[in-house]
Amino acid sequence: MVEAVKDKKIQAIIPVRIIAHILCLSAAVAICTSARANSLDNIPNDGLKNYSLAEIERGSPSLHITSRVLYREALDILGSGDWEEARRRLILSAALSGHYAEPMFTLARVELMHAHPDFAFHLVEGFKRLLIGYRNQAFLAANLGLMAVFTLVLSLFVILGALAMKYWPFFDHRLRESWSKRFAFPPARLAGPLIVAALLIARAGIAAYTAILIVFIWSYISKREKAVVTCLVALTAAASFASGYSNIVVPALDGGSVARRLSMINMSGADRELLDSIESIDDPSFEAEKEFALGTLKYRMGDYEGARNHLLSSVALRSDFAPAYLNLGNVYFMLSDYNRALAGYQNVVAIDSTAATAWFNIGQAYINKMLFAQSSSALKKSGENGLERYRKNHPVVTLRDHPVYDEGFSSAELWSIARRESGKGGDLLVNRALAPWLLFPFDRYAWLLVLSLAAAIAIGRIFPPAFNVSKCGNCGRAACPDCADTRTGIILCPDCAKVITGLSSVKVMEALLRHRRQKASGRNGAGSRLRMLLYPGAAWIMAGRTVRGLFAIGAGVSAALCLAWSGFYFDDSFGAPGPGSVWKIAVPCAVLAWLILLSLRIKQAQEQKNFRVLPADYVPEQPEDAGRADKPTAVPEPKTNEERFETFLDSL
Amino acid sequence: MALEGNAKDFGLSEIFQLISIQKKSGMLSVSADQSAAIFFQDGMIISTRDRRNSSNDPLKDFLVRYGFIGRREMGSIQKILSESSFDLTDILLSERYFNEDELVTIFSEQIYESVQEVLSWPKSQYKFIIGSNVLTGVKSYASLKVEAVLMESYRRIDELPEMRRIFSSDDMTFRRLAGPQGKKASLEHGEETIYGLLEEERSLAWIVSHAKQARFCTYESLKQLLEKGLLEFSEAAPAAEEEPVFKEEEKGKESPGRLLPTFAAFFMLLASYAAGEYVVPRLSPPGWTARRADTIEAGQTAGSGSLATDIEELRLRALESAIRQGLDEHFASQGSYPFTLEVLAVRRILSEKAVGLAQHGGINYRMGEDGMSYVLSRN
Ligand SMILES: [Zn+2]
Ligand SMILES: [Zn+2]
Repeated sequence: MVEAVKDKKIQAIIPVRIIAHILCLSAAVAICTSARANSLDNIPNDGLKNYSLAEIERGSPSLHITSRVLYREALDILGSGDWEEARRRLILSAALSGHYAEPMFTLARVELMHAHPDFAFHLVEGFKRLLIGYRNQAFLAANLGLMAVFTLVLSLFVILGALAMKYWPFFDHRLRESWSKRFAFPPARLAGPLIVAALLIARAGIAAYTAILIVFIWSYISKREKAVVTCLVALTAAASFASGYSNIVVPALDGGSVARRLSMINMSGADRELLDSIESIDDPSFEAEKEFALGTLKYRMGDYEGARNHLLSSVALRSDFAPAYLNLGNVYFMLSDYNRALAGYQNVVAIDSTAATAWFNIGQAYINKMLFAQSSSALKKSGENGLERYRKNHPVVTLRDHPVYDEGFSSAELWSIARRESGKGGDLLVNRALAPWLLFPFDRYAWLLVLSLAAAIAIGRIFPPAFNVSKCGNCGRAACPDCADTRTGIILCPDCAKVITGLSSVKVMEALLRHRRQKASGRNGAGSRLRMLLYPGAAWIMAGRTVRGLFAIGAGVSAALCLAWSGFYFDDSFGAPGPGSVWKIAVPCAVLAWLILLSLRIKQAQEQKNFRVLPADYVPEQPEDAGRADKPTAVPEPKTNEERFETFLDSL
Repeated sequence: MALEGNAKDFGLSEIFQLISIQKKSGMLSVSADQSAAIFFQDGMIISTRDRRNSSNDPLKDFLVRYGFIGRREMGSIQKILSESSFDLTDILLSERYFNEDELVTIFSEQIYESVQEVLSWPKSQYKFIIGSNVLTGVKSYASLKVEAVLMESYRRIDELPEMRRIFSSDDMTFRRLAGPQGKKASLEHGEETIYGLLEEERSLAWIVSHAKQARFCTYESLKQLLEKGLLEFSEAAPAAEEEPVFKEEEKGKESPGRLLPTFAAFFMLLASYAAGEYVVPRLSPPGWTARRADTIEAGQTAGSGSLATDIEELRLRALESAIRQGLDEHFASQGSYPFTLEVLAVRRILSEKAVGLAQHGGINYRMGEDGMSYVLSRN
């Protein structure tokens, strides 16, 4: 009431926009507090409520299962159309688990559709939750990493393929000439396709094809294209060198790993099954962590004697293991031995002076010792060091009337466990994932790429004539020293040269060359449009816009991967298809369609109206034909085409 | 406005004169079995070439017929014409087949011949379209007085029967005679050209097609030469008159061995197939194949210790923990574990795909007594 009156008064002075901001903010605060205020009483299903109460009783730090059930119920309600009820259910679901992102995203979607101002807040919160916890982080890292590596490898391959297509006429020209010198059959025009077919039939894997492509096209491609290819090769090689770290995520993906089993104490309540699963860890290198987990579980089950023994042996093995000291302190706290409890907590703050839970527990211990001044100072420190954050990530602690807070494994701890666990050899995850396509170990892929680059450069140096194919200055087709005509001062392919043979007027020559040029570019335009449909992005490479092509191909490849994997490589949710799955198809399709649309709009540069191909100072030779009016003396010309080509090159 | 009619009622020459006197500009099109167009500007004849009918260009025919330009050269000119927007006269000048003066002469000669031909048609329809806009695009190198053209044309038409009588057959041949001394100086230009051509005995047809002048002028010159006693002719056809036709010898590329390269190509494809089938899998690390393993090897149940690095195994283990989670969800909401995994799919806790994958992957589920426990195992 007072608030409302205040608001009205302010409204008179302050612009409406600020009011709107304040309202939004207060709405957000209201929701936060209402989420905080959510209790299990809001769960309509009695069975679920009892299950949740039992979980809390077993000391579960998070009601993940309850949260999931509520989320699915909310989806059902949403399907029936009651969005406000669904929203309440979603908020409850989100409140019961600190790292469950889906309810947040669905909330944001529902609120966006009903123009509710909280959607942005919930969207951001959803993304934040994706980054909370070892398992979420590892999944994200694994999926993003694999996406990046696949995109790199495939983009390199596709770009090389596009470049090979672009420069194919030049290679093919040489091949045809040398082929037709030796063999009359099969026809020279089939030689190139035959070689390509043979290579494809061998199914040698992308690694081999990439290496072959690098060696073949290197000497043909332009400097800018070389730069782009080198960049991609360097990035891929870097990924290849870094691939040794890829296995660190494996324990998160593997439900049976030590890290995953240990991490379960962060997720669910203590029961016999969980205890058995942790007791079955027989790797001595994780003894301290195992003891800590067992101690924590027994503490939660109320077996304080057992808990104390496990936790004591844990800190004996690892004297800097802060959570073990904390939980040990809790054990003493529950046994009403406040001095030992305080000693345990003091150990924690000695290791990490910003441990909010430890400060909080110290405060609680002082209260029990009737030392209120110390208590309030400790509680203050606790608040300063982010006790709120702890409560937010462990929502269940507010539902439980436990005096002290305990700790499970921090995500940093779990990462370190995962690193130790995955460091025991075995085939690399990236190698395995790429194996069916690459057919080559990815961690050694860098060497293959570097070797093929070196080979390409060496071949270009040793046999330059083999690649000495230039473009026809007029129509852009391939022309080599054996067949090019350079009498006009530019390189002309045999066909263009034939068109202007015997002519003595530059005007007529230009007209005929223009005609041929336009015919050729028309043919090329149609061809590249067709080829572009094979994969988006290639059109830019064809048009010579290599950097744009690189980004387009990268985007196209990742979109195609998203489609092929229907999301990411590792699918976290085996659940029923939720609303998120539509995006997994719609977004990549939209990206692909957009790229295709964009590349349809690429236009070849139009030449200027008075564009001339022939050099300005070119004087045609006068053929000594009968019937000509005047015959100027012929210009002395080099003897062979080879020489002409050389002199032309020199003149450049 | 247009003026049209039948040449029988009102003679073509009258039309010509009318146009000339009134100094009209426009196009006179005459049609009989063939058709022709004559362009006038201010009462003068400027061209007989109709640009809209480029396939039937009288100038082109004139040039080829009388040997100004060889057939092969005309072929290449024709190609240029089809690939550019040039006019024939542009190409003739810029390619220096003729200089401007020569072109003017040829152009006028061609007009004379065309008009003469049109006037000699026994019956024809005509139509005169007045206005200088029909002249746009008409290239002209001569502007001839109608009276002069008519006079010359009628002179030729009158004299032609006499010429035809003398030069009755294209097969008749001419031979040069050593004429009386000192008379050479009196030869006219046309006569001199023809005299020069006859270094050996030639047929009439050959002479006409090489004389570089209109047929009537050739006849006239021949007649003059005959009268001057510098030529003699015979009716008999000399042997081997025709120019030998050089046919491009098609080098039949009969390859020495078609079989061997075909076999080699086939063998290459086969070899690369074999390489793909056997060598590539052999070279790749053990257990790696391009194809997915058909059977999933018996894996260890999650929790038995070692980490899975096989992707399939990893996926199965992920599936297994998802199933465990789903079972817990069922327990939480229903108070008991389900009877079979399919129940999870029915309640949409797991997708049907996931349940199918579990069965395919050999994950076995068994509900414990009273539904309060379960056993999940892998085979
Ligand atoms: Zn060309
Ligand atoms: Zn060549």
